[in-house]
Amino acid sequence: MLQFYLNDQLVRPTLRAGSTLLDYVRYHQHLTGTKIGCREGDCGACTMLVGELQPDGAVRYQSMTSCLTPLGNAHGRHIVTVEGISQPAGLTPVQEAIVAEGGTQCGFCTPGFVMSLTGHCLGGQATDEAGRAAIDGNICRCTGYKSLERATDRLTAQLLERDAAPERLAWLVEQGFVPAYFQQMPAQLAELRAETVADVAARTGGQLTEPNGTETTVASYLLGGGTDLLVQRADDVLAAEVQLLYGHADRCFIRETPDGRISLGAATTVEDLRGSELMQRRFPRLRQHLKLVSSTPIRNMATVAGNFVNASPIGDLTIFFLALDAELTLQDAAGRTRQLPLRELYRGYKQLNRQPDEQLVEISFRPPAAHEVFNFEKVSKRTHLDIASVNSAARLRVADGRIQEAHLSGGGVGPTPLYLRRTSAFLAGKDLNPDTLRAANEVAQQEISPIGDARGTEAYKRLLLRQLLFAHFLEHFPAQFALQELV
Amino acid sequence: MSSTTNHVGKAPSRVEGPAKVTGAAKYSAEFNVPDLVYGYVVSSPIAKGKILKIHADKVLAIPGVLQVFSHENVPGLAWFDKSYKDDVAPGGSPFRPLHDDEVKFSMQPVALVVADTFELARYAASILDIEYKESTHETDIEAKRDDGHEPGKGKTGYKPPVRRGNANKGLAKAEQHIKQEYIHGAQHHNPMELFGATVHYHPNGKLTIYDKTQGVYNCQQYVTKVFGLSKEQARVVNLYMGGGFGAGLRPQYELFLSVLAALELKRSVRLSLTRQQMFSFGHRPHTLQTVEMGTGPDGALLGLKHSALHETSRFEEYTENVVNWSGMLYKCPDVHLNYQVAALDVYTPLDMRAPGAATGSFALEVAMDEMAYAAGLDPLEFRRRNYAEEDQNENKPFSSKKLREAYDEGARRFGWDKRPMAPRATKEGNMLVGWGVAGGVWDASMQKAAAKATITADGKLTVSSAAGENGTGTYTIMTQIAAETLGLPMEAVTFKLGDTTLPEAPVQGGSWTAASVGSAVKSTCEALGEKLLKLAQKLGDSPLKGAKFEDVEFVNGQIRLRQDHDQAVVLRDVLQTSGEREIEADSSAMPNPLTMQKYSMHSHNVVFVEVKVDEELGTVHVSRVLNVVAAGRILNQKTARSQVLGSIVWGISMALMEETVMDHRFGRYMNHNYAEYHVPVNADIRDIEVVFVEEEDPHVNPLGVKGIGEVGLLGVAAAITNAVYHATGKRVRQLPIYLDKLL
Repeated sequence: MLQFYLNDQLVRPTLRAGSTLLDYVRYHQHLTGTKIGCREGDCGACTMLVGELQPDGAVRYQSMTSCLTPLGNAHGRHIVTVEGISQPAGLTPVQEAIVAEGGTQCGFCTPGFVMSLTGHCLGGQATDEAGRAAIDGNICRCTGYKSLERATDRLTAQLLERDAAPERLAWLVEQGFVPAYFQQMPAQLAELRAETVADVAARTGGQLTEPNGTETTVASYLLGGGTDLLVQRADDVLAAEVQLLYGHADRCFIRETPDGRISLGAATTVEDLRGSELMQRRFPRLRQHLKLVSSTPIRNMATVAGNFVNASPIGDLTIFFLALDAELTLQDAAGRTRQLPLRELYRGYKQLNRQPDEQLVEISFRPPAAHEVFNFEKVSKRTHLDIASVNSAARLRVADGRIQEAHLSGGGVGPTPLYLRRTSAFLAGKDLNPDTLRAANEVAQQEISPIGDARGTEAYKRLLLRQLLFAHFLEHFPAQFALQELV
Repeated sequence: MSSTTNHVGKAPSRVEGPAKVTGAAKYSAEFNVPDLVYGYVVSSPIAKGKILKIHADKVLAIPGVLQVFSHENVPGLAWFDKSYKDDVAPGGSPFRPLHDDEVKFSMQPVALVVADTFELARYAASILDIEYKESTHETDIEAKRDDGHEPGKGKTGYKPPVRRGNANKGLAKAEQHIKQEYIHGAQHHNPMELFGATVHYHPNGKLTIYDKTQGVYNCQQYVTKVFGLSKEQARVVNLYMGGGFGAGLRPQYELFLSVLAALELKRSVRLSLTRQQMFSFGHRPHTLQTVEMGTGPDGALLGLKHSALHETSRFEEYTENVVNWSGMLYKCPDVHLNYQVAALDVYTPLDMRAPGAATGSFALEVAMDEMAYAAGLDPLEFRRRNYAEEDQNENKPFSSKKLREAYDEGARRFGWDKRPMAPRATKEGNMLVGWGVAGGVWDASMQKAAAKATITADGKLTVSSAAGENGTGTYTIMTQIAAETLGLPMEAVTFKLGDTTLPEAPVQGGSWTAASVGSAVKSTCEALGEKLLKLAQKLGDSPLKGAKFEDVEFVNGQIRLRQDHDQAVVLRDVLQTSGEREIEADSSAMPNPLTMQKYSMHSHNVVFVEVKVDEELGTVHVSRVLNVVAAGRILNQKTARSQVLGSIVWGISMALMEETVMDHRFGRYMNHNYAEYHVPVNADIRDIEVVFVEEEDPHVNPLGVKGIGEVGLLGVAAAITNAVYHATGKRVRQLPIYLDKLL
């Protein structure tokens, strides 16, 4: 049975797992503080907090856009809406700061900002930057960004006190950030988990296909974070049997394998990836790279496999992992697995080399070694919540002024996400100098076939790819190059 | 004792702030009424043609689907166009939803599915099969360059452009001369809240209609005329509006459809549009403009021509004042203004924040920058030299105009004197830095408005007027005005709005709410004050005996003599001693025709912008914006500032991001969602600042306010464009400034 805490109440909705959390809360629970602005995860007006019990017994709260959150993904978790933090005694410090700084105007985006910032106060770092990052996925059309930014900054000093307090949650309750019932949540979720773990059917809304092939329930949809399927096919997903992968232990992991590779569960979220210490050690600029991917609430939901399988020619993570030559493990309904390089996943625009019953279960790659560098670049019209005009990643091994090995990828420059095979091959063995890069660009321009669209003309995309190609080298070898001598 | 009840001009926080941050504020699609059913609109995929057949049977067979409304089954409603005309309708025949088989624009509502649940209605709508016969459409204004016509005077507030002198002669005398074309695409208001309505069908057949609108009275008169209802049968309510920006000036089709369904099904109905459907009922039109101007040896403008062409629909003649501003912002003896529209197969455009002026000032102010460079003058100095001391369009003095002070203040704060004249002169790292300036002028209007005030024996004052709160701060400023007029703390005052059971107020637009409703509130509270004074004078040994209303003031919860503050009566005592439970007063305010005849009443602004351009990637970062506004008296520093900060972001958005792109093959907007219709996120906005210059205006209205909702948008996009030129030497004349244009 699907069950979770909605604010301070245990609820057991009888709706389908593929319906949205937003509709359940607004239409069935009649809690209207959560707003509907776009139903596509692009505005943040429907932001809720999703609390999940951690191995250490604490509950971690993440912001999510509830318009794209499958109701099934709430199972066993604590869902918090603006009604769940508002208290009769008075405004919370977050609400207080927004009112005092004039951060609410028409008020429609406001509950979303309140929730994002409450999430920040529950678990975020006590810095202005972290606060501002927490509201990266909230659009205000009125638009009170500067006032909201002042409200955000005002919280930083309070959060420093939080960090000095002996017990964080107790302090947050005492200061009125969240009501007292939050303190019971770890125990209540633990209790729920005991039931949840046994009840796999409810957990998944179907069954995870068992490797021995005896399981006959084959879901029509595999649902991860919902950030794509619920935009593209909300009605279908609602009507279908769905198999929920989000947060599933078998599909959510990041680990180093004995051969030095890193292995990711397919349902690992972008934010899991971004927060992983292992990943950060291997990719020192990882947080900056992935900050450009959509927005915090979407990164909290979107899975790595979802990005691959969506097959967008411009998927940020796809481009990232193409340069790393990631290897995919696909598993069919009978439990048979096979390996497929990510570079061979795409057959054409939105077409995959994959059987209908095969699902992507694991991703493995060799992280950059000590003598290698990695870079990711993205140009988009706005900073967050935007699809790239062009993006590109590079993995380079350079020694003694010579490029030993190069792997470049480019998005938005062809019908599929492209591994720039010829350009990469061309670079290998060449001296690291402006002539090489100029010549590499000549090769790259032959290899790509961008089209003009709302994100730019063909010529512009060609130019961007050139600039991004150069940028990889400028980023890591600034002493050797200046852009002026390249163009 | 000095006053503690002077609220006007201070910066109190919003009185409705707590309701908004806790989610308690109820928007139209959020009223939980019993036995609600849900509607979902089906939109036409074709831009022009006929509906051959609506195959509703399959959908109607689904348990829980109650009805599919379309032109095939809509009952006979009002016959004449005038019944469908709302208060702000342009000339022509308003669109009637589900009226006949004709499709006039892409995404036209062609059917309404009503079902027990929202999910079911949406699903049923998605499988409703409709056959169409498509005919050839025209949606490209570029193809209508030679096909425009001068529109009639259909719409309130539209003024056909006036000409003066002989612009050709003036231009012939000029030493320097420019002529350029300026273009921007269509833009959509895109408020955060989707248009929606909840219609509560009462057992006696009366309706309470919670609709997303900027004018409850406008909607009530529309609904009563179209459906033949009395005003008692159709109460329209809007307590909070999640942004309007003009999108809610006219009754939108969710109102018609939800009322239709409620009346036919005799059920309460809720209907919300989708974000995609928000692109189907009006927009700032795609506009082509040409500006030509010339200067004499001292940089004086000798002649100016400004022409504009934009689309309208086939059925209405939409107009806005695009070019008129060019006849009044600068002094020029010979001015020729020309304004045309051309009909296309699109929905009628709709006033969007600073309609006309946002468009016209973009062209004029970029042209002024080009002219300044042609004349070898600093762009601000060039504006100073052509400062308009009076409104030459109307040949009247301004009631007040502190634009010169705004120039001075802005230049000083921005450090304008350090600006090198030459483009490409400043670099920071690999970024080119540029500074630009531009500004604008906007009407200080006022409309008739009424209000009611009631004070009870506990000293609580309730004031009401059916104005709107769409984020502007109406609740708060009206509370301030009422509280100050009767000398009460703000906490003792409740302001009610957005309900046709309250005294009538105009639609929330034109930046006139503060002036109109504010004046009505002031006048009503004064009327109440006179009654209170009379009561106070009836008290035994009243210290106010014999005093006239002019002799007393209402301060700190007291009525006291202006000349002798010790001669005072506590307001609450007046009521309690008099035995009256409550006292009430009504009043209204309207513009003074004599003043209007004598003065030109306008607000002005000037915007200073710094951009940093990454020439390698073509990206533009607006690193600094200073908007200096002269808009009369500022009622609330906090809410007024928010209005202008918001306008700056709108201007950045207009300059760099916003454009609804039409795919002419289908006659359909391609980027009709939030993912592709870009507005900025917080991280895109850097340092922005607002300054109000002191501007006392004894003529404009009793409050001396000019309105602040729109003027702040003017000049922002032009100043950015000008700064981009200063940074890069590239003159962009088409918005938005796509990255490609800078490479």
